Amino acid sequence: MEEYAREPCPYRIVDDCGGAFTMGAIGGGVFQSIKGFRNAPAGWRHRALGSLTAVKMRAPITGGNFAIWGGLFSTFDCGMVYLRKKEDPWNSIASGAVTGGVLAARSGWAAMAGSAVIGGVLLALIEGVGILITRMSAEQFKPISPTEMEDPSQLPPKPQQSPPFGGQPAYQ
Amino acid sequence: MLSRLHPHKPIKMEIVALAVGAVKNVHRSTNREMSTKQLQFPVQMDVQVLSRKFLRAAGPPCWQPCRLQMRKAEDRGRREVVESRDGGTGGQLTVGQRVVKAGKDVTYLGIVIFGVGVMGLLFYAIGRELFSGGSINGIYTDAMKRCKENEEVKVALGTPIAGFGEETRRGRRRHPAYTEYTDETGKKHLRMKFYLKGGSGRRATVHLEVTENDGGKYDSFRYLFVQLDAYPHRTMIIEDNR
Repeated sequence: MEEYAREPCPYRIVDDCGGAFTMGAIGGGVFQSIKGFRNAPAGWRHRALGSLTAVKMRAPITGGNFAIWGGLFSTFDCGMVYLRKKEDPWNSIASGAVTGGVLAARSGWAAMAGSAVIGGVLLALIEGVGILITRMSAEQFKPISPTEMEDPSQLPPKPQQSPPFGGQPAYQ
Repeated sequence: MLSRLHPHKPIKMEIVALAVGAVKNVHRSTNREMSTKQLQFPVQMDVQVLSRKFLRAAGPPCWQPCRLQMRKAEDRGRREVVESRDGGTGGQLTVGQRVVKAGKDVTYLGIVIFGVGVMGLLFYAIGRELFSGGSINGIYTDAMKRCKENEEVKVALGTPIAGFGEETRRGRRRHPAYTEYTDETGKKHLRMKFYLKGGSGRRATVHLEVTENDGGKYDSFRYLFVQLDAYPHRTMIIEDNR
């Protein structure tokens, strides 16, 4: 039971790093295989070899870049969780912006600001999708009739003067 | 009247090109690809003066096209007639081409509008979620503030108190669980559940319900209580307006 109650936070960084690497390597592999195929000289043999070479050379680089982004993002996200003592969409938006800024730090302040804005907006969009999905799944579990919605038993019996449901007295 | 070389440009430009080309023709060297840099000094002066004179009438300078036109004008000295590049239609599209172009334009416009619409929807959703008090995130923030300020909860859990929602498989706990329902009077209610963890390591679950006001916005807690997750399962009622 303790296993499930473990805090996700510091361990999540490694997970995210690996997940991002996988995603980048697979996506980069697909992209580079097509690009290498198109850029190779004519002939199936050349094209297949060109495709393979491009994937071997470039896909791990894309994966590495993704991993850096994911790991840094997750690190900042965990930092925000620790500092704010609250987990909400603001954490990920802010850490997306900080990650974008930090990764552009070698290009000067203007580039940092630009990358930070792009990172923040990107993460805000992802959060927007997450919010819409949560809303849809909540819609799915909507109770059909309100009579199912008993008040929680932890609360004391409600006073008879103000029954909440259409003036019907509640017998408990 | 439109220029023959560039059907979409007015004829003024061609005059400039012709004049410059004429000057260049006088001092033409054997190299046909001669650029203005290679011209001798007095000639360059001439070109500049002449072109300045004409440019005053013709509009803004454009060196790249002008040089191109210089060459064209040179060729023209040899061949009297310059072929039009678009097959003699004078830059006009046929009806069929126009229909195809309009169709393409409409398709691209549709794609752009669709993209902007989706972006707008997403930004609207996230903006309403983050900046409005009656949203899921707003209720979650309010309720957590109330819990963190409550003395009984502080003592039971220990400070500082951290709050989080349902954990996903990827270790995210950003969204609290909630469900909405409508009661017999047609009023909407929302029940939510999220978790607290105190400085002592003890955990608790927060249950709450909000009711919408006459404006259709969730603004008041119907109840809000915290229950410890471990053995005594003590319940601390923060608000109960039933």
